[in-house]
Amino acid sequence: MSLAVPRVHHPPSFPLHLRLARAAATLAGVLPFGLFVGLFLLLPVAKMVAGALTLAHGGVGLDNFRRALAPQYLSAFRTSILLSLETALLGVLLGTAVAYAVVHGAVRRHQGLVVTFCTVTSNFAGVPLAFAFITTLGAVGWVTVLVQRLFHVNLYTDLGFAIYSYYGLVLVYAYFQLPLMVLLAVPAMHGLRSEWREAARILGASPWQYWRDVGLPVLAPSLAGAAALLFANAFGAYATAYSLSSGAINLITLRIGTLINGDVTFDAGLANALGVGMTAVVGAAILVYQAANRTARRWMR
Amino acid sequence: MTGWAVVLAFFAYLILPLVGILQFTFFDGPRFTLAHYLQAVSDREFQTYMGHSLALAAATVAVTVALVTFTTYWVHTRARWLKPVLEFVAFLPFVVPAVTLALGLIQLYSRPPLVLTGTPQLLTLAYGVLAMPFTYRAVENALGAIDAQTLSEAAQSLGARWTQRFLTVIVPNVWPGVVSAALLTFSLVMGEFTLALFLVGSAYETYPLYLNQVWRSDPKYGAAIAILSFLITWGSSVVFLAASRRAPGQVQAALK
Repeated sequence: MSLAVPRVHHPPSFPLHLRLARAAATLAGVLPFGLFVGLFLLLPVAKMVAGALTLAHGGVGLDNFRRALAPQYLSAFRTSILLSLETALLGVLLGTAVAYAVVHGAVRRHQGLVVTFCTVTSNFAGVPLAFAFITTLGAVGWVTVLVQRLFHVNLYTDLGFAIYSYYGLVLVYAYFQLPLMVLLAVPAMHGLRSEWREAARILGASPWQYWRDVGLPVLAPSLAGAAALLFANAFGAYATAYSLSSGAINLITLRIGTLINGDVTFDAGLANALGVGMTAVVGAAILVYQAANRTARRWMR
Repeated sequence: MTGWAVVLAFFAYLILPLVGILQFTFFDGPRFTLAHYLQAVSDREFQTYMGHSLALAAATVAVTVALVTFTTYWVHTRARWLKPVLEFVAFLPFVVPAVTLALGLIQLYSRPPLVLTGTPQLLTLAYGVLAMPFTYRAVENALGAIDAQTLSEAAQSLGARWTQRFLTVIVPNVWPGVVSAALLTFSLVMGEFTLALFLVGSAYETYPLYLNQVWRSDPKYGAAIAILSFLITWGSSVVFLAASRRAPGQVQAALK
């Protein structure tokens, strides 16, 4: 038999109206933020979704989405997704290698320098970045001219390269993806203890075995998160592509931009449907990341 | 050895474009010149638009950092049950690319009852949305590192009102987080192009818009002021960092 202890659910000293007043005060504290988020984030997104579902002459329908599936928009989605995937993977692979070298590898002593340099260059994006690449690898950029002088090869006429082309864009996007990845991977690398590597070696593991059984499982969740972030970063990028290619490359952000900015091409319904599509793609990338993260965590146990 | 090769190749890749833009602005043919930079001194537009961008950056920092810091503190100490909601909301801007945010905002605020397009106020609040995820992260990390609940209750038992608790107890203790959030927001606004183009355009022209426009008519001058904007952004960050090294009345030994 246990002693019967009376359970008190609410402190009995506070009458109801005081508790209500307290709850109201608590909610009042989050009200300004709630208004800000509601008016400038949630409502615009809701407006976009509603606009996508509204027909030109009123009424609800999927007409805008049907128009958004036209070949030129599908191809824009394909190019944007491919560009973002490629530069995200490139960023993850090379960024991880650089982070490894500066945390555990040969360049340990200069970690601070590399991190500072990455902080500076990851801010160098958009319009100025496009200028920097045009003056470097444009048709008369200094590297293009130098290669011509040294090797008598013209990158443009002989090799078919162009900074305004898809691969040019990959090269430019990598400029803001790589340093960002290094900044994301350096803290993760610190979680990889050098004792584990030594222990694995003493127990007779090959470097390959070490990476397969220890290194990668430990790093996987952070790398997957970083990959999702890089993907979203490239997928939503507008300014760099806009000032570099002036619309010569068929990217989905540029398409939407033309639809909302042009007088002739103004078509809010279609732009809304494409915008919903973009949000869905980034949302899907985040879901893939979360699934990968769960798998990686199970893998670690 | 491979480590060095990878890092050096990485450095080369990051430095070559910078060399490109610098030599482009400093040399006319083989002749060294500062003319493209000096051109900015007498350029009234340059000064106006730089002023616009600096004002926007300062306003965004003030609004976002104050709002996010206060709300995060409030949820932390008084409404813990709202924390998952806050986490989710702070993550949302990642899913909404800038063009799509612009798209929604234009349709919402270009006709009555609220006409805000073309105003710096709208741009400030939209930038607030963009800056929210990492502002929240920075402040939340700082709040998690101190025992905000205990500090707040201790202050309360000493008779401090909630404004006093927030301003004189919590803010000084999460100051490093606040500063890093402010710096990130500042450099984000100084370089932002997309929202500025769609939401205000020429009604309140910002520096990145001006850069893009100048580049098309006078590339050398455009490149020179791109470098200048980079230097001004970094210079302001350094000054800000030095000024905020010590928070007003910071508690030396925070409760652990």
